[in-house]
Amino acid sequence: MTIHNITATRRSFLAGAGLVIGFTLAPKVFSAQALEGVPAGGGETLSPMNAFVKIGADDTVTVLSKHIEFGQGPFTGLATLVAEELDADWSQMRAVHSPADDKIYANLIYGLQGTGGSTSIANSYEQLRKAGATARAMLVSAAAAEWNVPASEITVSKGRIKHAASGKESGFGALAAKAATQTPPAEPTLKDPKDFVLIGQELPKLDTLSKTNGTAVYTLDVTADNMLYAVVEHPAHFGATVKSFDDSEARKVPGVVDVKQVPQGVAVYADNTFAALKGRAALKVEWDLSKAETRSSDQLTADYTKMFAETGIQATHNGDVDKAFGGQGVQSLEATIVFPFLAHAPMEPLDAVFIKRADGSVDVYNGAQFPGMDKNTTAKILNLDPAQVRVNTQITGGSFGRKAQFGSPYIQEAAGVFAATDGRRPLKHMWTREDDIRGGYYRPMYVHKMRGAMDADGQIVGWDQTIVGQSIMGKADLDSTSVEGASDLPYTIPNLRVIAHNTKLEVPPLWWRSVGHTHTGFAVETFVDELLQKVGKDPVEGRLALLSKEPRHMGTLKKVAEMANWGSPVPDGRQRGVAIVKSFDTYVAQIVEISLGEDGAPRVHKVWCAVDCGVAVNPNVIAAQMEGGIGYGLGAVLFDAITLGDGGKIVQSNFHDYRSLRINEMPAIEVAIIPSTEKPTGVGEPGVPPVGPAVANAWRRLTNNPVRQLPIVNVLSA
Amino acid sequence: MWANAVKTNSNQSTRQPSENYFKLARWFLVLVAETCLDPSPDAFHVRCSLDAQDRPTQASTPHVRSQMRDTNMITFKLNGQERTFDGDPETPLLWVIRDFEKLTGTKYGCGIAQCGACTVHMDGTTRRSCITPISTVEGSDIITIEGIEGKEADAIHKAWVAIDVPQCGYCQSGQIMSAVALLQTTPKPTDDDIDGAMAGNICRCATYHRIRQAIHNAADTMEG
Repeated sequence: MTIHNITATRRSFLAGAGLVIGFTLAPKVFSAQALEGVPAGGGETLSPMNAFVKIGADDTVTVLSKHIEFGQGPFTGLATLVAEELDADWSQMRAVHSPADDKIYANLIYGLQGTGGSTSIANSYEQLRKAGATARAMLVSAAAAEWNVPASEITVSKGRIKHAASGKESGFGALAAKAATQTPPAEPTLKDPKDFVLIGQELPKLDTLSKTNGTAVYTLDVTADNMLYAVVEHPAHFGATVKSFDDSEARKVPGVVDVKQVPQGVAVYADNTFAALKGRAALKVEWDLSKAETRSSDQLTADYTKMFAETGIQATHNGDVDKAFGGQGVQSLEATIVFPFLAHAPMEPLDAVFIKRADGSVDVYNGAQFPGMDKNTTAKILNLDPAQVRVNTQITGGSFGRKAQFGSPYIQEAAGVFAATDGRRPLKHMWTREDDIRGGYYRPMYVHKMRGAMDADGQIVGWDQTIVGQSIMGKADLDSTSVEGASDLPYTIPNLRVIAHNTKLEVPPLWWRSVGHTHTGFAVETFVDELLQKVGKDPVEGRLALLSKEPRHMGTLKKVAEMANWGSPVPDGRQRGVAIVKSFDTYVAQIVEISLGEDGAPRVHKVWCAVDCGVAVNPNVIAAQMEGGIGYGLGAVLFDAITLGDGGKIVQSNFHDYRSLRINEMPAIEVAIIPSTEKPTGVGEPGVPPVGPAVANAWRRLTNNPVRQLPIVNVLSA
Repeated sequence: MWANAVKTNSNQSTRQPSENYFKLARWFLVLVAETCLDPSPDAFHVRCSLDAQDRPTQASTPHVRSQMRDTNMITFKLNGQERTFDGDPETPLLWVIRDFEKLTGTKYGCGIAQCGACTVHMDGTTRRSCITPISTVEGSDIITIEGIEGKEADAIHKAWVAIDVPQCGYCQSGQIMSAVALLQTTPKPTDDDIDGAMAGNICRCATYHRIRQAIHNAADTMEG
């Protein structure tokens, strides 16, 4: 079975859009830049200045990004930090993924290589600027030696190295090889931020072009000669295992090569993807449910709700909450809010390619959010030394947290499927959308019990919040990710108590874009809004009064109110809602304007968004992350739930029943960035949390119905 | 209730392969099979090259031969070049394009025509290649992101780059194929036109805001 060109045409050069790995090619072709789809430039004469910067003979500067590029912009952001201190011209900058190395390429906040928690710019801000400054000093030193002039008389600007007195001038490329041999300065001098020429500019993103012409190479696009394609049949219950299986029909499918049981299910190996899928569909598998989660989502909600009566783990207790609620003339409000499981559903489902080399070492190509962990896990599964495993991080079709897993459980499956072969054929393992939606590692279910106390003067004097759900970190004691945003409530309320209960179930939990703030942000911001309404206060003014000790909260909230002209008349049939959430040290306030849609659900027309993330390295990327975060968060609160049906079977399977926001549902968005000289903080996640509560607040004011259960469509149909 | 809000462009039609195509395609398959069986390493195209030790266990080579006698040959044009396919006729066009043609700009996202990441042009209109069996492609003209051209494609590409539409970028080939088709039929689309043409393309990064803007910008540049 094959296919072939009938006529070679002028377009044949385009045929190489996917990465095709030939075994006859020398290993150097497999270096990072060949795999990224982003031209690194420089070819074989790329000279390393340090672990992060290479300069090519053609003047290109290639930044090795220790962070994975899945749309949030580290290629552009990290290259900007280097270019700024290197005094490079933006047009000469390139970016590729660095190799996996938990030491050299560690996330300085976490101590191992990894992307997450909206930390890419925050932890790299000084490190990558120093890398650029070091490379600059080495170039200057090389020029001084070459030209026999004092280094102090040399200037660098827009990629040109000059010595005014002698009239000598050079690009970076001509001096790169010599520069690489210079001694780097012990502590390079960094620019005063007032001298920045690139940081703060809306520089074009480095990865845009390849993502508009089909040439960007994702893991799914990595192709090798004689490659096997493998998919695994997974159970529809969490914790189920294979009891027995019949593969006789699967083996009859043309192109199916083998069928094997693996710990996660039954793997089908084939000569192409469709044969693997067709073979999988022909499997008959009987599952052992004896250790499976058999409770339905409704049962879990009931079980979680019962836990309110039990003693939990105290996250915060300021003042005396019980006393506050018992005070004279005190009114109270109580609410229970139920949050469903959420799948991340990145556009590119999980996938990986494994290739065993002649020396026994193995190359892994994947969307490695924790590359070092993926490397160690692969080595363990394949019985190799980690030094024999190369993780080649690929440009990745989204993650939203899905590809950052401690212990790399996905790689355990994929490497296990490869390990079950003789390793002579390269192997691509992929998850289908069904595997992805039903694959667990969800944002956990949570149930919040909220109690608020208001005194006779209309002051909120007590806040009592209990949060029941799985610990994402797998803790028996307090998991800060369960309570973040609540236990550190920004509002000044004299009596505050936050209690957590960790639940145990077979559904594996994971962080989902903005982690704890996905639910605490909603609970806090809808409940404070409701309390303010009870005491007759304006949602913006009322919040500002409670935020007097939080200047950056105040600045962000004031800005968004100004953008939306808060307080001005709203068109008939429309209502507005506001929310502000600080997450990952970034402050985001949003105001939404909604109406009742034809289908009975909220129709969101407009979102105003103000963000304070410290120094804005690239305002265009920041705005894009706010826009995307709003769309991602809005889709989830309107439509999405993963539910376990009767007997614990997963109900949803694909985008038809796990809805994504679509373009006709996307509101108009305006973003403003608060000018700041504070250190930069992240933007990948913080755009998400405020939109849900802002919509719910507008909805409550429009319909008098508070949203006590997500997604909102489930409440409407209930 | 929600299904009504989603408009997709699944304008399905089927075609039966003709005898002439079978003859032509079979001839080429013999040529290809012989090339792949040539023991001289130099004769191997990079995509069908094998380490010598792997050759006896290689599954696709004997498979090609067994399929030569009785299988359907499907011939179609891909980005202007004539192609043949003799594998499982149920194979979706998506996997023929990706696994066999190695044109990987067209993406897998859902496999059930819900997300649009696999959108190509088939005889001038958008088509979800993930649910299009190759047997229905006989004689058709398929254009993928790698082969799209013309004034609409130029305008869309430039507009996409100018405002940095993509984030993760995985859905963008499909978005661009839908957007180009829209401008080909509706050079000056309204927001409603954009909703109608683009609502079948999911972007989990939610770059919709910029997609809408880029389509308007592209329409403006085409006009000028």
